[in-house]
Amino acid sequence: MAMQRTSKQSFDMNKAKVLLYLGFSKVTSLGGRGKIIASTGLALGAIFILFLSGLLYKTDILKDHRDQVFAYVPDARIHVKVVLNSNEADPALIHYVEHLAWLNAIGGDRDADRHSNAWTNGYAVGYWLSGQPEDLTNLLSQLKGVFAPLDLPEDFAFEERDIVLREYDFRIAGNPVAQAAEAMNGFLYAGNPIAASVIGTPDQIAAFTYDQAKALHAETHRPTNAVLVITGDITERQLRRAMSEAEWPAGVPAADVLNPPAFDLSATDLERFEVVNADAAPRLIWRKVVALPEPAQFDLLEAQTALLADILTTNLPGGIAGPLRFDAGIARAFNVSIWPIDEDNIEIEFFATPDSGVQLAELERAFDDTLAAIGASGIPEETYTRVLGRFDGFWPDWADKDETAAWMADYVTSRVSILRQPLSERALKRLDRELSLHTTNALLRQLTGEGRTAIAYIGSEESF
Amino acid sequence: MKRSVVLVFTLLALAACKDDTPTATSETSESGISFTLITLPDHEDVSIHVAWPTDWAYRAETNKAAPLVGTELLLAGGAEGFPAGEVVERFADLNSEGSMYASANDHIIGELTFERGNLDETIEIANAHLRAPTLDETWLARITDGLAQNMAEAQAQPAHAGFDAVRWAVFGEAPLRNALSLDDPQTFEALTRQDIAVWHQETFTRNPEAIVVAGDINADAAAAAIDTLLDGLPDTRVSPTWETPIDFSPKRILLHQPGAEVTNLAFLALLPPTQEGGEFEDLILAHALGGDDQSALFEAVRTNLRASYAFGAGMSNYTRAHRLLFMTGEVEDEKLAEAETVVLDAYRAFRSGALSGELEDRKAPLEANLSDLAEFVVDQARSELQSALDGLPVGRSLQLTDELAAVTDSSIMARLENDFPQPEDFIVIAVSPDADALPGACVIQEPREAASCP
Repeated sequence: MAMQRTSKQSFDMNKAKVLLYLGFSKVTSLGGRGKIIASTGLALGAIFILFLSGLLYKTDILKDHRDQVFAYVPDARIHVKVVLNSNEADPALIHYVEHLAWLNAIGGDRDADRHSNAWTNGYAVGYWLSGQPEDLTNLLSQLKGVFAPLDLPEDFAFEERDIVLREYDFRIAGNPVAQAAEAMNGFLYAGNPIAASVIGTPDQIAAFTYDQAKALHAETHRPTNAVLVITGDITERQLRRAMSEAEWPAGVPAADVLNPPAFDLSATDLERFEVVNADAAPRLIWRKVVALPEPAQFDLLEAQTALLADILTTNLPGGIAGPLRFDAGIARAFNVSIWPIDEDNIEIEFFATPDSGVQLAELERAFDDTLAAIGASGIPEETYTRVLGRFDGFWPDWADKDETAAWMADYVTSRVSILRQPLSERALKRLDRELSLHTTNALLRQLTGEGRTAIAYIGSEESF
Repeated sequence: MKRSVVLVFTLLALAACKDDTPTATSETSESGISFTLITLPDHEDVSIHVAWPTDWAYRAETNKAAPLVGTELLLAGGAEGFPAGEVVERFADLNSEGSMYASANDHIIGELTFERGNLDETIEIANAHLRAPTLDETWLARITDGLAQNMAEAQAQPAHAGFDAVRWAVFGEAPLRNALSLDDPQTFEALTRQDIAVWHQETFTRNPEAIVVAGDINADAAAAAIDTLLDGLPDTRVSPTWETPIDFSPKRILLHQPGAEVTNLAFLALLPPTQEGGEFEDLILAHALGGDDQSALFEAVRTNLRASYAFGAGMSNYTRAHRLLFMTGEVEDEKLAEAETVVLDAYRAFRSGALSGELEDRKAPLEANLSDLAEFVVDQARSELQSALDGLPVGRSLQLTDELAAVTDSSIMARLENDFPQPEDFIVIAVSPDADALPGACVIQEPREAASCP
């Protein structure tokens, strides 16, 4: 039996770029449980398949009387997902292609129990269908339609640009944090594919042509550019048979597809952004990307950076909650996140709201000074040990097969979505041994050194 | 070797004998406090949920921000013997979690979840925060200021402003409206520590309306935990009056916001309260109406009219007695009037027709969800607590699979015909930069003007 407290667990991945979904944005429940994980990295035929047995997505509880929107999303049974490398194409255009390809292959009439959606991020584009295990062949048959040439009426394809514009309204218009993030991404990642906006600007969206979309679709939506991920309670034999019956096209080993573009950090620089909005609550977003002296394995780096973020968030010596929140009234609330962009570069984000009467510039200075001081003195061993003791939840309870299966399903899906090879369960289990105070302090020093910094002030000008 | 095999078989036999079926029992603590114990064998975690009744939102003399600010202040501001900055780290060390929120404006609900081995210290800390919170002025100002800023930002959003306008139309000047909207300008400015202290004193008593303990814990230990948790709280009883004037007569309103960057359209009408049953029918119907890309509304507004990115349906509550069905989404401004017609036509067709596809297909995801509810200690406790507040039998949260199994095509159709609102029952609210975008609607410039719309 899985030992879980709540269904609302999240797998926080790919913070660098927003994942844009084609359909309703309610489809966000990543909490999970499952049965037994069968295998990962199972190569079938020429296409690489990531197959996880036993995933059942857990959704929200049935009863909720709070005066809020009750977003109910039934998601269960088998999930069939295909992820395509976007080959460094303009992500806004590939996002438009995603809309069209989904309509071409999956939109329209389906059985009521087959749920579907699609997404685009800065690296890849993905489509999924879910249904009952016995429908696997049909699910695969329908999903392979994303490889078929776009064959929508031209007027309908043009109208879909208007839907993308509505999506822009939904996500960006009137959202100062999203607007700041778009601008900061462009600066921090300058010269790299992920610098470009996935949603694009209204002018960009309006300028897309159907011919452009068809050409990009033909270039990217190929079996040789795809990775298939199956999660559900099926056997390897059932999967083989279903793929054969569905005539799933031959591809190439996943290693050729799961290959994110190299990230080259631009020159050290600092840029300020101001999102003036008289109605907006004042907020400071402080982000910095730094290069590491030596590359580190991505999953290990993700754990190391997450641990450092946990430490910095505390009110313990070496944390910033004391100087900014508990010992002085500077930050009413804040959050620190640190994550790897790749094996050579990491990013830190400090997201904070100032206390009453505190200007954003004052909050920025206080954070700068505090981070520099902690970087100079290092994290005390007592603090490191104490926070490490709370870090168990970063990974599943490996002894619990159900919990592990669910976690692995989310993990594999998330890794593939950013074109990265997932590690095996065995390799993941060993990562915690490589966490150390020495590495933590080394990362901290790096973050307080040279890098590319973007700072956004949000709110009325008086609050700046 | 033979002895080892025997031992293994013995262990297996013992394991097989152990009953791991969740059970529900009514218990009473030594000091006389009643609670429901949901025994979930083999769980390491225990979750205690307590619901205190309150009519604070319904009374004219109260500051409506007090529950929102107060629940945060109780959790964040420290307590007797537990300074704010220290206890947050101790709770993290214990891997304990606490939360508190107002539910449907009729109860304050506290949730406490912890590893069984950390029960004593977790309960001690929680009791101090319930019994003797510091209510520190600095923390009060910090929390009040932050929430006021967040509300002001939210109220500037077209969709939010539209729902504020509907509450003006429904409740007018009744106190409950401001409790729901927190849009009276002086609400946050006028809030004082004394308001919080009064709210705290009258709310947190030794006599909650319902308590649920879920986990692998025996009745004696659970009872002792409850007694300690509520120790030192006043032994008073609240007799809440949950009555408010309400006018849900259908209207068509357009809130004109010249600077709005998006246009929003929403439809709201009443559904029967959950205590009257039919919840699974409602879940299935709401999803079929506007839950995903195959829903009636997605088909009508996005696929056919091409007017929206996401137009869906859902359910919410103003109060436990006033439950809502809503349909909402952003739409292209030039298609607003057409979208209103299309949505109502789609709803009319939905209400008069049968569900597409097999009912079993629509039930399957719910079945999968319910089948493992007992593996999530917090969710199981929440479900049981809400059932208790609806006056449903003890252990109802363990019977949900049976309830779902009883849903039939006939019960679905009956629910649609008898309980879902008629198309003409909806209050329609649009928020648009164009005052003429919804011909014939009552055009207003501020949400409060909706109270005067015919």
